[in-house]
Formats: sequence, C-alpha cells, structure tokens
Amino acid sequence: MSDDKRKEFVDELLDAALHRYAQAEPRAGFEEHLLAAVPEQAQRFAWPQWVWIPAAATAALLLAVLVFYATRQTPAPSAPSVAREVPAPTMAPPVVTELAPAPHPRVSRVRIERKQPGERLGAGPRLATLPARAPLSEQERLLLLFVQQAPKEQLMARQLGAPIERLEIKPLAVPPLEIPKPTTEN
Amino acid sequence: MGVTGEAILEAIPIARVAEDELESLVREQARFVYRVCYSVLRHHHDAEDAAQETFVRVWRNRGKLAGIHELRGWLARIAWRVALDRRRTKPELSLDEAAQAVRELRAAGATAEQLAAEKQMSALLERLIASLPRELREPLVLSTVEEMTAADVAAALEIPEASMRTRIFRARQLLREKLESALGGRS
Repeated sequence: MSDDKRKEFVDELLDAALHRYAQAEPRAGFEEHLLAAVPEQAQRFAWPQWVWIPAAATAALLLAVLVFYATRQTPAPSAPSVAREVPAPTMAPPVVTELAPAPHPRVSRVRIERKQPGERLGAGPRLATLPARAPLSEQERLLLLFVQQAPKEQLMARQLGAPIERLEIKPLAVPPLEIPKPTTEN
Repeated sequence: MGVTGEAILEAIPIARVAEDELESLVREQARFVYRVCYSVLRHHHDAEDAAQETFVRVWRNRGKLAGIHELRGWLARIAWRVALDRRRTKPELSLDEAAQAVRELRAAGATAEQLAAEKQMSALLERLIASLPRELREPLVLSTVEEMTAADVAAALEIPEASMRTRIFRARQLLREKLESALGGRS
C-alpha cells in the first residue's frame, strides 16, 4: 500500500473511530429511573447549609479553649529575683568580709543511671522549696556586700522613687563695697 | 411562629415547579449527560451512575438554574467533573495487544468503517487518547460527544473557544501520527 493510500486510510479510520467513541445509549427507561432516584438521593445526602455555622462556631470555641489552656499551663520564664534573695539591710557596723570564691563542686565523674522500668522520670529527693535556691552569682554577692557596707543615707538615696531634694539656691547678695576714707595728715 | 396552612399551600406549587423543571431537564438532557460521562468512563453502568450523580448535583443547585445561560456547557462541566472523580483506569487491552488485533483485522481486509466498529479498535483508540497530554486529551474527548458544540466544550472546560479549537486540531494531528505508527508496524 502506498504512503498516500495508507494516510488516507488512517484518516478515515480515525474519523470513524472518533465518531463512534462517545456514541453510546443508556438502557431503556433511564430517564424514569433518574426521575425517581434523583430527588430521593438528593434529600438523603443533603446537608442543610446552615449546619456549617454552628459547626464552625463550635470549632472556633474549642480552638479558643485549647489555646487558652495551652498558654496558661506554659510556665512563664521568670528571671531569678535578686530582691527576694537579698536580706534586708541591717544597721550593723560595716564588717569587711572577704569574698570567698563561689563553691564550684568539681565534677570528677558523671554517672548516668539507667532508668528502671516503672520508675518516675526525674525521681529524686523532694526539695523544700521549689524552685530550689541556686548559689549566689558573683554580681549578687557584690551587691549584698555593698548593701551591708554602705551607710543608711546612701542606701535611702538610692532607693527607687525616693524624692530628690530640691536644690535651693540663695539669691546672690553682693555686699556694698566699703572704701576706706583717706586720712588727711596735714 | 408555626407554619400556617396557607404557607404550605403556597409552597406546594413551588415544589411542583421545581419537579417539573427537573423532569423536563432530565427528559431533554439525560442522554447528553450520559454520553459526556461515557466519553470519560467508557463503561455503561459507571456512566449511568455518574449521570445520576450529575442530576443530583443539579437538583441541589436548582436555585441557580434560572440564572444559567449556557445550560449544556454547565451540565457538561458538572458531568465531566463527576466522571473524572469516578474514573478507574483499568484498560481491558494493552496498547500493543490492541494494535496487534487491529493490524490482524486490517490484514484480513476490513474497511475503515468495519474496523472502527470493532471492540479492538475502540480499545486501541482509548489507549492512544489516554497517551495524549491532558490539555489536548480533554477537549478532544469532549468534542467526540455528538451534541457538544465548540462553545459547549469551551464552556465545560472553562477555556477560550479559540484555544479549544487549536488544542483539538493538535490532538487529532498527534493521534493520527500515533495511529499510523501503531498500524504501520507489521501489516
């Protein structure tokens, strides 16, 4: 078969095949079946549109409650309060204390204990105060020393909110110049 | 405030109008919708189910019916989407098997019309169409539905009519080359 004839045959075949491609007929009585089934099926699976409003409101409420509790239970990171640790200043005479180096326990060996089955995570001796008191830092010890040694007036002046004494400047008074009278000896 | 008897009596004609509207729509468009579904699904029972689901969706959106200008395009779009959702790609014959069967029929002296009516040719065409890129395949498949005009196809696929025509032309060209190659192997 020549090329032209083959191309012509392919064209004809393609046209005929495409023409038949979607030529299909439903079974007899298809329309009646649809008329009976469609309204029934539409009502069976129909969700009223207003259902979404309470559903969305409930979801939003649940989310709000969840966020509220999540933010409440998370402990806020708080800086260690120095004021609570510092004892009230006493009026005792200043005592010079030597600064001792902060105790730094030397860790010679770290021992990792295996957790026994059923054991509570992080189980250890219960502490009297929670959180446990940490040893004072270098700055805190210096501050404590300053408070112990400084005179009361200086401490009072440094208190926050203490009223600043008004500086009164007396009016400048210039006394009249006294010129001694010349004495006449003649 | 309860529902009065008058309100019920007033609602009955409205419901009846909607049912009449559905009935006329089904009687006029059921076969068209079925063919759109069939062009995608290639299976009679699946196409019937898809057509039914299409009319269920139409029934639920019957409030919009009055404002729709291109009814066929709108219906075809719904049917097309429903059919695509339900499509199960399970060809009965592979491309090679179908091509071999068609070649044998052709060698036996079958004409183009006779070949086109054969199940093997239908399977071969289905496989060849499936191998086309999607943007070419979709307009071509919809254009095979007899009742679909170019405007309907363009409306169903939501593309400009000129683009749709170009795509169909390119799809046919590609399909012709593929078919020629499939048939030209050994005759």
